[in-house]
Amino acid sequence: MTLRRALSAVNGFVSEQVQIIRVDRLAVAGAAILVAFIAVAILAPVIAPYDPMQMCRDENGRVLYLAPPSKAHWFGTTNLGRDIFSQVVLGTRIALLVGFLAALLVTLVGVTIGVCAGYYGGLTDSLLMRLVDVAYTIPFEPFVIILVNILRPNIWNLILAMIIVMWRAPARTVRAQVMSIKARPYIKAARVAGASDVRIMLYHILPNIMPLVFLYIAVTVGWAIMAEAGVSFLGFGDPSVTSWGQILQLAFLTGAMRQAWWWTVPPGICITLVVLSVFFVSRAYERIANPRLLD
Amino acid sequence: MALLEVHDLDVEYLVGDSIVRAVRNVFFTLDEGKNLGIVGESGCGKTTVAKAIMRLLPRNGRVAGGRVVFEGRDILRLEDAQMRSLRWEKLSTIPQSAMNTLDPVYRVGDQLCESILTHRRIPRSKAWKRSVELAELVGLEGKRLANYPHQLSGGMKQRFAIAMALSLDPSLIIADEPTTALDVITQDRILAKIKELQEGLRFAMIYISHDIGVIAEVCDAMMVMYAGRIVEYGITRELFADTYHPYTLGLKNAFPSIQADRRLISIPGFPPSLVGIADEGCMFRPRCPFAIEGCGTRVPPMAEVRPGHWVACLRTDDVGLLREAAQEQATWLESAVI
Amino acid sequence: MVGELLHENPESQMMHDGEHDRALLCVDDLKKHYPVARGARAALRSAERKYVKAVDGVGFSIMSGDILGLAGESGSGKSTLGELLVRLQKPTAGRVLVDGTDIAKLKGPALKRFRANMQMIFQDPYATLNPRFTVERTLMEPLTIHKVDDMRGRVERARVALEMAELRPADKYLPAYPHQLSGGQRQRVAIARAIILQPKFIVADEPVSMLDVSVRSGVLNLLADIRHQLGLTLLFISHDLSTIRYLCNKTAVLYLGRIVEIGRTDRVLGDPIHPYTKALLAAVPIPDPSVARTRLDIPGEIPDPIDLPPGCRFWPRCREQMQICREQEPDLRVVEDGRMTACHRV
Repeated sequence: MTLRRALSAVNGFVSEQVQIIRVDRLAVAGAAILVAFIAVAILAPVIAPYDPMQMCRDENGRVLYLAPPSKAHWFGTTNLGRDIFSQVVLGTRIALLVGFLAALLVTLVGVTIGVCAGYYGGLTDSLLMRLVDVAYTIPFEPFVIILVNILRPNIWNLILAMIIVMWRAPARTVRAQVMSIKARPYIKAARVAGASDVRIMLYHILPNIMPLVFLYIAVTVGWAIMAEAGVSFLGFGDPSVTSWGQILQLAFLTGAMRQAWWWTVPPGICITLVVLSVFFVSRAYERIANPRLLD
Repeated sequence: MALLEVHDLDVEYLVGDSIVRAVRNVFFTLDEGKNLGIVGESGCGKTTVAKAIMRLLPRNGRVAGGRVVFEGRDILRLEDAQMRSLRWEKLSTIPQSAMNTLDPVYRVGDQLCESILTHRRIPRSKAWKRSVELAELVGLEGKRLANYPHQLSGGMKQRFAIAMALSLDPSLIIADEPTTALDVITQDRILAKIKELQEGLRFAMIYISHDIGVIAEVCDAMMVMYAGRIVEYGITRELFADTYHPYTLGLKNAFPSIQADRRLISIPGFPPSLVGIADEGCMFRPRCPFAIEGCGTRVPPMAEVRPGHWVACLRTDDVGLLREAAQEQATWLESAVI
Repeated sequence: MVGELLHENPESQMMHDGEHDRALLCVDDLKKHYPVARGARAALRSAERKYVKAVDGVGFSIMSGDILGLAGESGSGKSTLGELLVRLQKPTAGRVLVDGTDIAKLKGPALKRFRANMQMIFQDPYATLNPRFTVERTLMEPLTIHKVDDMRGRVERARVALEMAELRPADKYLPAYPHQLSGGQRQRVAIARAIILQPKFIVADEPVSMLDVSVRSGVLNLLADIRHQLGLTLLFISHDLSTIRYLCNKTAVLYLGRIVEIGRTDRVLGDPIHPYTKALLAAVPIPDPSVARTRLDIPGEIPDPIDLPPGCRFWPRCREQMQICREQEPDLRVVEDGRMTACHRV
């Protein structure tokens, strides 16, 4: 019985999301692309024809250095004969993981702090904003270097670094918006009705800043994927994973960028597609959150 | 010859895919030095009339018909350049919330100077002198010109907007809700000052407001608008003493007076949307307690019930009955449309 | 007088000493001062801190069933006073007593009860409702907070409240979003929200100033009707004296944070004593061209309530000022049964 209820709940949830998205064609396109990427990420080991680290040889046994796209290698090979298609496919996992997880957590932390600072004001606000100021002084890459030297260089620590540093941007803008919403009559009405601070923050303020929140999530996804690439370039990335950023960095490092377009174009397009898709889908959610747009 | 004659003015806005007929068949005349009040609620078209006369309609608006004859010339037919020279020199305006349209990063004196210099090629020192004159004319101290807008009170900002409108000595000023945001004492003083200026400078005014009290005191003639059309137009005193149109009767009922002691009666319902409407009868019909069969089929024509007093209503013959019935709360409840 | 037509207790008198206990709400020397931000240099110099004295020593009572009109222009502190009464702001000094209890001391369940009893209606109908809540959700919220009834009962109460606010049929309005409603309708929803907990006291802060004229009178009459039906007490804040005269049986006139005159409306507005009240009344336009109005030209503007001169705060603009007016601030004194004025001429 519980299984049936769970299934119907999931069914309900999914159909509700479909309802939200289908209104906007761009959002549908975005959602389709994201679903495709998610599928690829899940099925990656199955889809990828080769081991991404394997040096591939042709029928004569020679290593296929920098081979252009062919039937055997859809995206060609790297300077070390590695199949780019497999790398891109496996990189999808990292991209989605880092991108979404980092974006969600960064936004979660930033929004929480921003709402508290904006709503409570006074000393709380001053303290939190000084914290933001401190966070702003921290440059991301050097910070990662330090963190990685203390902890191990892996993907989770990287995400941790992102959270520690990047919450500052949403915090500040969210705070500003919260301060303006706080003065509105319907907030005062809620207080007069006896609503607790938490209630007001959760039900009145948060829904009214959702557009901003979605925007930050979308932007941070793109940033996170790129940031991971940057960190990998510096050599502080997780050596055990393949990511799109790493593919790009390797292409750049070996100077093959000019000749081997097949090396840089696929990961570049993938990054662009994911970021755009997230953006389009978040627009559809913003419509739902803002009833005015429904008419 | 009248200073301003408006004939059959029609104005439309393009909103999305639909046409909003904001103003239809508006006409009136205004003589030199006189005041015309335009009364109506939000959406009745009064601001649109003002913008159409000044030819300052937004990009999606256009005059669909009619003539606006100012000092003998149809200004709707003028070239843009000719209109520009007319604007502010002969015809100026105090826009709605004028105090909010002041540029916050410039001193008010500079803004006044600039508006003069845009139209006259005179040395800056002369323009500044004129600005000081104007400031004093409207009751502001000359030193206020050095202030920024945020340093001035609402009343001062409004006086300043009046000074700007007067800067080139126009013969007609269109004032759109000039005292709405002001306190009653400030409003009183600004109205008195305008009256004083008018006596001296002899400019005519079109006074747009939703406040009949102000219109009753200030304007020689008045026009009541509803949903883009005139419903009643005539000399203020006569219009109040012998009101004909049900909407005007309803408005009078709805205004509390500091003197009178009667129950306020509201007009049920609310003004209609003007999107894509056809000409199918009187716009006020859904809210009118006196509507009859014919009211739904044709637009009531403007009829001159007395010399100079125009009404758009099919039931002007029964006006005695209408006036009596309008005083009763029960009359208005029957047409209850929420 | 219409005020009396609309009220059930025309004999309710102004409070005299000793009647504290019969009053629903009592305000005692209430003050709200906002510090003016000062620059670093001034702070280093330890220059004296300046304050915006929005409410500067207000004292009055409201009897159960009264509609007290609070008249004043911008800068008079009337909105601040309204918010102080419902504990949206904390006073700098003074007390607000409801049924004898100092509201600043309320906590926990007593505070919740207070909240259920004291409600507020705001000026801007376009910002008074949460744009993301349906009307139903807006109305249910107070009930949910105070755990009134069950789900079904709450919806029923929401319906009743909407019907009382003359939004019929209620079921048509429950699922609506604010942007689908007109200004007048939104304000009615706000009224429904204010009455849904069956409060004893409502502060209405300029509830009709942003509405169209033909809609205004409907809302005003609605306020009078529900006050009568529910036995409410109202504080009606407005700058429009005609509206106050229509609705309120008592009137208090506020100038720069202090009450200058208070008493029965027909007396205060019919036969004003304080020079400021006289000036206010003389400035109100009369919607009847056949009646001439005598103006009282008072000079100057309302000053910022920061650097107030000593003495009566109105003296710079007063035509009837005497020497003592510049030196000493007048207290509210009883001038006749039920009326008090703060003026040295009395």
